[in-house]
Amino acid sequence: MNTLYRKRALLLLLGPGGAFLLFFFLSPLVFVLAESFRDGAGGVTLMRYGEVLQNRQFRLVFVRTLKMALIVTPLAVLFGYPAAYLMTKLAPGKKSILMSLVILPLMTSPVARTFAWIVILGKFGIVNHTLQVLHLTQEPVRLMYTEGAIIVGLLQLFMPIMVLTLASALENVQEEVEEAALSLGSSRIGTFFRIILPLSFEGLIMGVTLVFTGCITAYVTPAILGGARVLTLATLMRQEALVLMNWEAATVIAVIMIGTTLILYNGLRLFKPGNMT
Amino acid sequence: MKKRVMLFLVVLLTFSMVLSAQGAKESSSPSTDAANPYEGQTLNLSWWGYNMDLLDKNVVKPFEDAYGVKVVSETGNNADRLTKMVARKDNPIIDVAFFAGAWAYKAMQEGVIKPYDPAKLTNLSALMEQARDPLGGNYAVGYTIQHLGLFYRPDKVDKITSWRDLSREDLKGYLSIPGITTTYGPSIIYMLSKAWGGDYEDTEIGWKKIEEIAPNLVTVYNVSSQLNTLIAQEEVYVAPYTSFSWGNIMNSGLEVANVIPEEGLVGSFSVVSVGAGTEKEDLVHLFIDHLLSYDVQMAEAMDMVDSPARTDIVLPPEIGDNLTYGEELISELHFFSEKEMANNQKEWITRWNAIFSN
Repeated sequence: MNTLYRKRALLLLLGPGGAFLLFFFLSPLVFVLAESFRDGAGGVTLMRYGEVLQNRQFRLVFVRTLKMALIVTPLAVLFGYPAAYLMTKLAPGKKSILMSLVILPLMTSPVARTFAWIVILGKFGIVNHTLQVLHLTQEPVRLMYTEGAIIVGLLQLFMPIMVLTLASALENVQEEVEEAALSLGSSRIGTFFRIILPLSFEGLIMGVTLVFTGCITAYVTPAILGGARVLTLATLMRQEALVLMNWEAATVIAVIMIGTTLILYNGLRLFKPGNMT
Repeated sequence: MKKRVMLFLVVLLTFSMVLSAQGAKESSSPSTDAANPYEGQTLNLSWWGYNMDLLDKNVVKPFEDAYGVKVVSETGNNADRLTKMVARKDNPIIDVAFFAGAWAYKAMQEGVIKPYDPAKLTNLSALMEQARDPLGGNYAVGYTIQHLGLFYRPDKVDKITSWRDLSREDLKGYLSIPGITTTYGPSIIYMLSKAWGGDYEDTEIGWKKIEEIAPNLVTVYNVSSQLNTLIAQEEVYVAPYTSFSWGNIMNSGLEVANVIPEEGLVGSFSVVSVGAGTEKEDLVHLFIDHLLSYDVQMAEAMDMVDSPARTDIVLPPEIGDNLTYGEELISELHFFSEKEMANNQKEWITRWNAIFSN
């Protein structure tokens, strides 16, 4: 009776959210996946994948997008871990101020944020002005509309997500465990790698997945900071779908983007400290 | 008691008079309906949504008042709106569709627009010759003319006199051009071909020049607002610009000038078409005719929203100078085949991507 009651309660709690996801997320996803394998006559084919993968332009854009995601994600971890760790150590008042500062960029429109980068990285922007004042360069350096600009923009866009995810995971690491390790002679770095990292690993996987996925699928930031010079998977997909109306190619690109993220998500789990022994 | 009865009778009489007046009003409705058969109908438009407040004032509101209809707008850029219309092809909702450049041709190819009936457009004959049927087959009417101009900063660079000047060494790092997916992107190839080879059709010359210019560009812009930002940030000193963005460029507060280069400028029409699935053909034609009417074309020009496609609009110089208007300017415009641009699109985008994003 108790089990039945629990099952019903679970169904009731999960039902609305599950139904929403099923209808608005899973069903379009299945549709996209099925569509990518369909040929004109209604049969199953890998032809569309072959066409897209054989296209030199696609391969170039895929490698570039992957490269940028693989640069931004570790940088977000590198900068995000200390910030998240510090947040968990602060008194509640200071913690909430810091949390608000982290959340603030997420509450700004991505377009406004990206235009702010134009002011910073532009020919007469703050960075170029500083470089010239310091006599490090005579002429303005081209910073905008480069891969570097996109990497900086994506890092700013997704670092708050990394910090919030890690902070949430680090909240669950009891301070006593850390103190015990230190009192038993472990160094701070050793404690981080042996105690804190394994205990917050789930949060790290989640943060890495969210940031990586964000980098692979981001459209506005690469479109504005990269322009036509630096096409990414998302800008290429838009071009195929909305300009050329080549839905077949756009569908294949979408599936490749999802597949890349899933491979990373599951691949990371293999590296979980407990799994490596 | 008597007073109460009197009061009751007065109230009853007043009530019955009100009811009879209402009845009389209702009984007169059929004759109003007969005079205005469109009363209460809805007309669905698909257009850009730029300057919507002015379009409401000059186009929508007068039409709604004249015919008692409700106009509903679906807004967005050409690509997004065409995609929606194609996706809803089996259950179309758009009665009137607005497109620019090759997008109108693509809409025709996709079967989401259908030919208009020239007999139902009383204002058609008042339009410029090229505006009456720019796609052929009566699939669209050009209701406003635009052009791709060339602007430069006189305080920063020497005067621009030719499309060949885009290859000038001193413009390196200060130049931008529209992307190939924009309305005017393909026109750049044609104009460079004309400037360097003397022939619009020999586009290989234009492509060769694009390859040479590519490293000199700040970036390629995909929407006019992006160019406005680049100009305001002083990133760009020279660029081809769409005529409807000239007002914003002038408002940048910078010293800017526009020129008619020796090879001329690129002209195009924004067109209006009948939605393929509409069941309100008469109302649609009334709307298109209204859009082409003298009053609407004049109001749109005076508010500097759209340059007139009619030949009988006379504008004061302070307005006309900021629009695609006047014999001198219009005689310098080249109109390229939307059909050719639509058919070349896939190949040209691939070629462009290979140059710019390698």
